[in-house]
Amino acid sequence: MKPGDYASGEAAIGRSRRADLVFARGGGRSALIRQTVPYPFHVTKPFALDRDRPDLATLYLQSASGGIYRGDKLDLSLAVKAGAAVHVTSQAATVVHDTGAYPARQTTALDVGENAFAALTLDPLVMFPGSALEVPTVVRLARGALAIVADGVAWHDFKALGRPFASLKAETLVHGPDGGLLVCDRSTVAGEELLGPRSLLGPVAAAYGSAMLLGPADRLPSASAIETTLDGLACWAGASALPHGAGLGVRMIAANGGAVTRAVEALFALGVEAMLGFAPARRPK
Amino acid sequence: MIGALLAIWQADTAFPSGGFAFSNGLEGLAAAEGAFSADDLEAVIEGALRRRWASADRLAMVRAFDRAMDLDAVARVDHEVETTIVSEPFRAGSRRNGASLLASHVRIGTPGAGEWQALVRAGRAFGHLAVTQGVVWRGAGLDLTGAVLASGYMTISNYTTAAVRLGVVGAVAAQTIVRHLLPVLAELAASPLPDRIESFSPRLDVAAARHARADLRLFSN
Repeated sequence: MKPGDYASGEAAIGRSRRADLVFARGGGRSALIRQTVPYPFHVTKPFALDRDRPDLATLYLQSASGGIYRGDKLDLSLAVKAGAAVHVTSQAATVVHDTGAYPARQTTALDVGENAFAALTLDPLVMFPGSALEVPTVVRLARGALAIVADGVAWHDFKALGRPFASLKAETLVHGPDGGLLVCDRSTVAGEELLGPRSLLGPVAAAYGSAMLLGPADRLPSASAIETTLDGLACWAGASALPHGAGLGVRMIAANGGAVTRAVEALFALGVEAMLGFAPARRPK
Repeated sequence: MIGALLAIWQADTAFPSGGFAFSNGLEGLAAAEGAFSADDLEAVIEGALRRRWASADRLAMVRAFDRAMDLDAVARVDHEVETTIVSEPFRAGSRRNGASLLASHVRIGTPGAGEWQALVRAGRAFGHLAVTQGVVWRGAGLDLTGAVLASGYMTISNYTTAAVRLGVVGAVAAQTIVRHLLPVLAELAASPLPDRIESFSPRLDVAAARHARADLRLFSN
């Protein structure tokens, strides 16, 4: 579909788009061998940002449309073939606009091949008043695969009236090499449950995040190192072992989305250091 | 009448269910946040009721209760519970609490308890608390309504009992909270079951994870 064919106005409700990105290892680097990136998805070219591991490709994923709108169905499929190493991140938070009677949906499928590394670390979603979003994510790990999946959520009422977002329904499934389900992290929360002194996150929190560092225990940072590092970034976090030896799960709570963004960046650095054995360069944003 | 009495029997804190060993994140939260008022505590327990018990524990218990005559089917529910409790302290606590409850029912001779314990000991099931409640309470003769209320009431009373032992609130203030939350429990118990096991409790997850590495602990989680 060409941009001129896109609907506008009311007819634009319910955009249904699917982006596919496939990376494979070849010639000492991780190459983007196939990409289908329809509007509103937008990606940069892959960068080699780490002198220690030039085969680690970093790709920035962006929304060209200013966020997620009512009825959107946005699907991202990211496949990292055997031996490749890829980091997909974002340059800014994604705003979820008032969806009215048409909740939006953003799905992600991440396939990590044998002995491959994949990191998907996104800036927080910013839920606007009235927004409702479903975020199903599925991660499939082949033998020897390592992965970092991290995201966050913040909310903002641009009129400063304390209006909540409608709802956020999340699901992250992690499958192992034999296809078996290792982890199933599901939640639903309404924005009104996160406001005021009886907030589920505590009275001063205005953002939260989740991360999974997937791999064998000897390729992961320690839970205490994660917590100590994130403490220094004004992000209260707790890390513990995931079911079925899948890795480490991390919950984060902070006063704002910026703290969660910095925490996710730090988690990426800790994870890469433990998984790949080097300190990654800071991703410019 | 016997259905109500059986539910009271199981919800009674005098029953050796093993729940006294678990604060389910409260000890870590109290340690992290220092001053913790009765209102704060009530909000935490209400959140746990709405976004953990009603949508996860209750559903797992009801599914196990419904399938109690087919323990292989119960084991499948138990495996789903294992994959859905992302927090390790909560997951381990659920298994340990389930084992304690099960041991008591085996000794009492509750129908089905011995068979479920054999499955757990054989490594074919994890024996999570909510699932074990479903099996042994069905065997003990509770009706489903009583089982749901006992499960929810124990969630409240485990938190308030832990709070009193931690010195967060006094015994009378704790019972005030229980009284305030009974209508919430009644509302949730009567609400339709969700179609999937899910929970949202990042605050308790963080607290429990950090508490697991504390030097001094009164509770297991």
